[in-house]
Amino acid sequence: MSQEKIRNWTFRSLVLLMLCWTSWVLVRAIEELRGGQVIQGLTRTYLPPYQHALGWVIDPRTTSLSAELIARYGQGIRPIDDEPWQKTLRRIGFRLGQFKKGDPLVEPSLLVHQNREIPDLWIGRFGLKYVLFRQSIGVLTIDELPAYSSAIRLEGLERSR
Amino acid sequence: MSSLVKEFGRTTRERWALATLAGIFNGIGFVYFGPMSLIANVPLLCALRYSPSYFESGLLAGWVGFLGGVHIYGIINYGWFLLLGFSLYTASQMVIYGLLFRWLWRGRGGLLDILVVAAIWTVSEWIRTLGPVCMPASYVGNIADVSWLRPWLVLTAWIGGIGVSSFVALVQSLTFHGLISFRHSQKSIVFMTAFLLVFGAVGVTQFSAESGGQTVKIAGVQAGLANSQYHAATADPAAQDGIIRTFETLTRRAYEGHPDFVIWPETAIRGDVLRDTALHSRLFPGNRDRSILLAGLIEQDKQGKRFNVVASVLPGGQVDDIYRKVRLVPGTESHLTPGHSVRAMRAGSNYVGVMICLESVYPDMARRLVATGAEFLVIASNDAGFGFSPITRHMTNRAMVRAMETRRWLIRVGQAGISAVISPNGVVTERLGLFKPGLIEGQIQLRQNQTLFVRFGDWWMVLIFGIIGVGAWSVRSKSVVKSAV
Repeated sequence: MSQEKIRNWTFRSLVLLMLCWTSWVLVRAIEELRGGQVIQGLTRTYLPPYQHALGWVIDPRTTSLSAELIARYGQGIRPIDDEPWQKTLRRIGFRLGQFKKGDPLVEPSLLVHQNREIPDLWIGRFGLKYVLFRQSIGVLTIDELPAYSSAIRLEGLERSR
Repeated sequence: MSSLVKEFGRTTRERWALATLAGIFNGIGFVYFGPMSLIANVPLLCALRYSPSYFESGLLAGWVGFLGGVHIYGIINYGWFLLLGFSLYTASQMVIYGLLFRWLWRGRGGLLDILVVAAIWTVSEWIRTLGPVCMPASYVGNIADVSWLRPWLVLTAWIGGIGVSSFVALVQSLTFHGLISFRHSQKSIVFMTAFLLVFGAVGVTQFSAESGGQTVKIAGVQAGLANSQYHAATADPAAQDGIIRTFETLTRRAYEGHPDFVIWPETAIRGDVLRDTALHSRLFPGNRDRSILLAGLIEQDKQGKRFNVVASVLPGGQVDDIYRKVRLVPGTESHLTPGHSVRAMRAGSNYVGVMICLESVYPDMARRLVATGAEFLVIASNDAGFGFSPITRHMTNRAMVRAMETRRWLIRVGQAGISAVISPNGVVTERLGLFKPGLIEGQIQLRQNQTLFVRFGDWWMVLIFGIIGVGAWSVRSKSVVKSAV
């Protein structure tokens, strides 16, 4: 084989190798960085945030409203599987107050929807966004509150979290 | 084969292929496989020797730097501009390397040519440690975890990390000259190889230098949280409470083991912990605890300025001293105010040298901390944003270099990991991996001695500039002779 041919062959092999390497690094980088890792924390499992039709799910979790209410407001209260959320509220010791029409929302509140069995827990505001918990999805930040038919004020809370 | 190596690089496309290969080799050495650094620039050198102009030499070398730089893709999570900026910055370092090579390398293959190639790398790496917005990257950082190179690595206590980087560049130079002109360079190559081996043998004699000093127990708290949890905590008080509970649980567990020091990572809890007395009882050491807490926090002063700090908190909850991060990360920490003084922090009757995150890549930081009395070093960090990318491993390597340069025990505590206890010889004695909550515990020795590097800094650069000076003189004499003829 002539010297020229060997150099050509070497050049092409180098280019091919470098393309293979670049592809491998790109695939690896995308896998490592897209933030899709599930992390086993000390107290619970953390799922990666994602965009939902409602808004940005900042803390995804599959817990029920009942379990969420106990985790947030029911320190020392034992969670019960499949407990209706109304019963959980009573066990925690909330007094439930209905908002009058036109009253500004006060957190924490439950936003009841006509077409949904389980209400959303409105946690508060974050800048211009609203922060709420929806069962089976987790904590979301949203631009506008979803339409609700009535709101339940959670009162009698000594330590709001 | 031999003629192929000698001839390859004569055409423009071959030179660019070689430069691209060198870029990939540098990237591999940087983040995946440190020993690759030993030959990383050889393809570039093969390209540069045939480069017809300064302009092309600069471009080829710059391309190598850019490619090497983008291999730390982990920083992309902090913004495209950081990755692009870092890669361009690395490219600019390599442009200097390419231009200096073009100027000083005579192509004779003698001792001076071999030394000049190593010296110009060292100069270009050293330049990265200068100025207020510098961003060091070093070959010594790439190879710090390579155990068979430890005989060289421990010599950082004398010649600094930059000195060991120059050894790596010398190996590159020897390989390059061996490939292209072994016959002409044979004696010089043998001589310089013997020089490197002698240095290695001297390094072996330094292995025992880590013993001695008062022994203390330490515990580092690694929460193992993703940054998304901190983002969630800004909007949701329950998420914030989840973070606090994680640190509370782990810190209490640490106190129960009665360590002398419990160490938190950088900005462990992003609330005003220093003023929130309710949190003191949950997190700070109580009167019955024996530990001093070194807590990575955000401090807000009366004027509303916010600082990234590590506070030493005595048993009983009294804050003893605060170190404020001096070198903030450009762009991502623009909302914070930098601290003013690099000094060892008081922690009870001891002094500790604290570096926060990026500060640990600057050799002068650890040096100044030890010069002002630090008996051991702490790196409080949060590398969660890098995800599982290999950059955190590289940052841990840099921590090893800081330990070896100063001959201090060093504890690196990462919020998400990697946390490590590192001996003065750069050996990791305890380690906790990425995104694993837990404690890293160990025993370390407090030390007061000062290494040659701590006392005199980059004195090795005097030798390097000496070589550059002789090289420049030699090139000048050659051109004077030429013009006279």
